[in-house]
Amino acid sequence: MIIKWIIKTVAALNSNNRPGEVAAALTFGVLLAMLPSSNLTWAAILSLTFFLKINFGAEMVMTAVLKPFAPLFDPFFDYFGYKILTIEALQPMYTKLSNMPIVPFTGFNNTAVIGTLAVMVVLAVPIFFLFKFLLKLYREKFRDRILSSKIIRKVSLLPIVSKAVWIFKKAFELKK
Amino acid sequence: MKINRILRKKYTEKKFKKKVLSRLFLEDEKKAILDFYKLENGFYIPSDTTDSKKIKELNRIAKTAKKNSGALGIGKTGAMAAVIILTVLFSVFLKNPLAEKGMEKALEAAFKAEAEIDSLSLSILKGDISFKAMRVADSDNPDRNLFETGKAQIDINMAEALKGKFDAENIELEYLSLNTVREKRGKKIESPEKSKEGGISLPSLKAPEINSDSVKKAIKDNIKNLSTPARLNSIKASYDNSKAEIKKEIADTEKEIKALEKKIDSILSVKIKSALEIKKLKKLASDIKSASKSADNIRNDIKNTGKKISSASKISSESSTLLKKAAEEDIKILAEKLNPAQSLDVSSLLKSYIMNSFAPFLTKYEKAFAVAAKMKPDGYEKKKKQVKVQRGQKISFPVTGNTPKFLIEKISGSFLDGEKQFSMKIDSITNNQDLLGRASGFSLNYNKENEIIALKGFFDSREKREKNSHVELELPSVNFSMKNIIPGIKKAEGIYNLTADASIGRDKSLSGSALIRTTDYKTEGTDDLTGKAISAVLNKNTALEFKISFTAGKDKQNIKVDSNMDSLLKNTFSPSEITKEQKEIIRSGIESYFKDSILNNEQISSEIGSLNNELDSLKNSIDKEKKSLEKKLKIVPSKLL
Repeated sequence: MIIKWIIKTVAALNSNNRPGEVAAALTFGVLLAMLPSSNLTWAAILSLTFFLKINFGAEMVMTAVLKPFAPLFDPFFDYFGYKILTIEALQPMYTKLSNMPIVPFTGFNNTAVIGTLAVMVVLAVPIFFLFKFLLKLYREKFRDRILSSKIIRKVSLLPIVSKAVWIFKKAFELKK
Repeated sequence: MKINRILRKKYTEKKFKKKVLSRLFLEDEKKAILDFYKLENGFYIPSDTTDSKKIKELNRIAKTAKKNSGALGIGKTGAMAAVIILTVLFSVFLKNPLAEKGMEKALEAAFKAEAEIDSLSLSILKGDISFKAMRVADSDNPDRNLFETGKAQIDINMAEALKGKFDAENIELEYLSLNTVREKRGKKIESPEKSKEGGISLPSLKAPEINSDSVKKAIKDNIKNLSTPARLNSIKASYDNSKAEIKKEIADTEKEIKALEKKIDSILSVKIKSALEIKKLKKLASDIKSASKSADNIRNDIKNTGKKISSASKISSESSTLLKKAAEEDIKILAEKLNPAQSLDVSSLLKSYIMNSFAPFLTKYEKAFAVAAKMKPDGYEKKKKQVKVQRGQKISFPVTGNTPKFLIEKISGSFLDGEKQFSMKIDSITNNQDLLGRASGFSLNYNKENEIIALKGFFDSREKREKNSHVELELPSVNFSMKNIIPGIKKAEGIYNLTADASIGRDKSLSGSALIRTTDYKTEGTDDLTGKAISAVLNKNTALEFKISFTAGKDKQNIKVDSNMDSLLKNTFSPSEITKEQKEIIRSGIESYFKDSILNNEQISSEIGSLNNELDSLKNSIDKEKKSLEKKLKIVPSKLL
């Protein structure tokens, strides 16, 4: 599954995939990596991406890559989350939310969850455009150079890589 | 080879950009498409080609262009639809069997024995769980069920469940049977074996016997109330006084006699030479007169001492009469004390019986108390703490409403155990009674023919509670029968009513009381005195009451039993009914007990005899002295001549 996601991601970067799809997938990947996972919010965001036409492989790869580093950002998210959750004027709303059905399961009262959400809502758009820009830049400036480079050629000739690509292609064909 | 449909169409310039070019993001692919199309009169027209390699490449590009359309993936939406369909199929075909299996596994893990649930139905939306029957085997006895239930219905508040709270609004059990035989489904439930002897059993009461030992013990216990010892003391004191007085008088008389002797000797030693020695003569005359008077006085003293000796001898003879009177009084007292009704001491026997019956429970309670004393209070502190999670921290907000995290509002059901039927109700089982504002209550009713037992109570864990728990028990009109339990009673039957209550206080100590009221006795007694007495009480009095109060806690265990049986027996069984033989046993008991204190008649008479002898010798000596004086007085005139 992980190999499949990696191959899909590499394919998405180098194929005719819409850059927005890949950029959105990578943005969601960052969000899912940063957000603590044992709550309904995380599951809801993951479910949402399932309906959207984004590159799921790229999303999962980005999540897997960034997840181990997420705790490094926790103090930052925790700081914002605590500030948000302790706003006096919002206390009645939080009380109401914590007594509503399902809402407590979203982990909204967790400083890391609310902090990550708040920060990512603001940062999601620039991150999206940054990934889109980088992808375009890659495709226009580096893609051909990299694909025609000696290293990639040699790597692609490695039996394990060629076998993996073959399996993936076969599976892709069978799926169709 | 056919070219892809997208690339077979003719497009306007605008439409071509939108439908084809905007979906291509690689320059070489865009170029390949633009090479394939020709722009004529504002239209993009596909060119003809037979190069299969080129067609293949164009088809690949067409596919990627097609793929890049729209924001929603049809495949993924389809997959979601499939998930929904699968969920529906799961709900219809798999949900209930899986829930049944899961619940069975949970029960098996909990009870470490095989468990079966029949026809479980789970409704997630309604929050309703029901099943037709549940059986859990006894791990110690696999042939029997630990318990078995009939149809059960559990209503869960789903709105609260979605808030992460377990709120079972109602749990209804059709019946619950204990210790049933494990049979194949549908077989009749067998009731457990009935015990051969029914009714209550009292401790065996030992009828007291009147014997020398019991009399001795009774005298010892009641010595302050008896007349004999006081009478004995007064007799002995008066005799000793008289004896001492007599002895003193005898000694004084002896001295007086000796003084008289001296006087007489001095008279005889007087020598008068002539009648002219008038002075000497006068003195002699007065000495003689005084000696004669002394002799008379001594005689009177001896007479008086003699009277005293005879009165002292009277004390001895009267003492036995006085002691007999005192003993008669004492017999009455001792007879009352030795009364079998008194000695039966029902309260103390019942107390020991109850103590024996309660002891295991109280000992267990002591142990439970020790454990409970170590237990921390209900985890309120834990709740107040901010729970640290792996990432971030959870901020707690006040809980509104009065639904705690765990709440079973009501469990009701009936239990079957052969012919006996129990119905029970438990309400407000929760982890936070303070939030709920009420304690957990329970009631249990037992029904078998005409026998009804009602039990109700509560468990309180609120911060401002008075007691931790309280239970009240009522057993109205229960038949009982007992054989050879009470001495003198071969068989007794009757009805008893029991009301009892027990509480565990905030200090976890146990206290309570019970009232047992027995009525409508039918007895078959023996012919002896005890039998008659107890039969009379049991038949005559329609109500015997036993009041029990008990406490248990840290280093204290106390049971107090009061009964009206004692007074009823006492009134019925009067001391006059003591037999002559029993009276004699008491009398001889008194005599033997006070044997050392009672005056010995022989000793007294010998003492009196010796006193009389002394007195007689005094009489003799005074007579002798008097004779000698008279004789000497006859010589005096010759001396004068």
